[in-house]
Amino acid sequence: MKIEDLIPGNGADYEVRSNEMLYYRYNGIWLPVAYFNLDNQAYIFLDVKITRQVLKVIKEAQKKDVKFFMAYPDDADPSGVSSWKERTIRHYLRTYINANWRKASAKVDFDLVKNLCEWISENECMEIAKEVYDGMTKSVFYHYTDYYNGGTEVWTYPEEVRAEWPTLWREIQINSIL
Amino acid sequence: MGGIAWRRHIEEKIVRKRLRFFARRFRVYRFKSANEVDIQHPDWLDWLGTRMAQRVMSQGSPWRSQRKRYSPNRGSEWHEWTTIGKSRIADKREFRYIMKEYYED
Repeated sequence: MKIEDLIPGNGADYEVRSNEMLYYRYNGIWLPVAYFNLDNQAYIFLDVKITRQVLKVIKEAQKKDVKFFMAYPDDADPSGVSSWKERTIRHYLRTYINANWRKASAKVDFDLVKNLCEWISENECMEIAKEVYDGMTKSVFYHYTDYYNGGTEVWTYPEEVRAEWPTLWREIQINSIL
Repeated sequence: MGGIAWRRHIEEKIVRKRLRFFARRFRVYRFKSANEVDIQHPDWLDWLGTRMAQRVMSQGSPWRSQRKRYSPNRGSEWHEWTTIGKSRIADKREFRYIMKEYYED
């Protein structure tokens, strides 16, 4: 497998550089999209800034049967290696509940949770995933009462996300068993 | 010179300039990026993908004010942000309207 296989469409606005990373041109700014690590494993950056392009690359990878995982976008220019597993899992879950991502990925046949489970089993970090999941629960259900507008309750995340969140851990467990 | 590539290059340059100018003027200590990550002392690139950056990167800003409208420094090139052909937001809105009409038929 080559990194060139992940380029979608006619390849306009995409470039493979000397560090063997795939870049996308966004308003003249080159943003990293994908790379292969030393074990020849494909990684695609889960970047919400360029959601549509990331989904195009995912589609291309699925078409060519390339097994891939998602990577944390800041790891393209890492400032440290501490708690990278936690960061990656948190980023997976954060993106899963992100409104822009949910809207864009509705049309694409891609299961982010399944991909996360594969990544967890590859790195053997189920306990860390549970910690991260429990830590995020409070922020997902955060809300306050707006007394200036008749005492309405304002939630940070929509009702769909809040309904899905309690069953998400069970879904992860089932996927990891399968 | 003057081809599609050149025009695109100039357009992108202007967009980047606007974003850099905005980041320099609108300094914040801490904010959440498009990936919902907390960033301290953000650089202009950290604003990419946020709602704020999308607004700033278009030429006509959607904030209208009396001061801008009746300013003595307005000049002949001044326009409303809803002007089609001048503002990206207005262009997008027009494009969506046309698409909707096209697909309904």
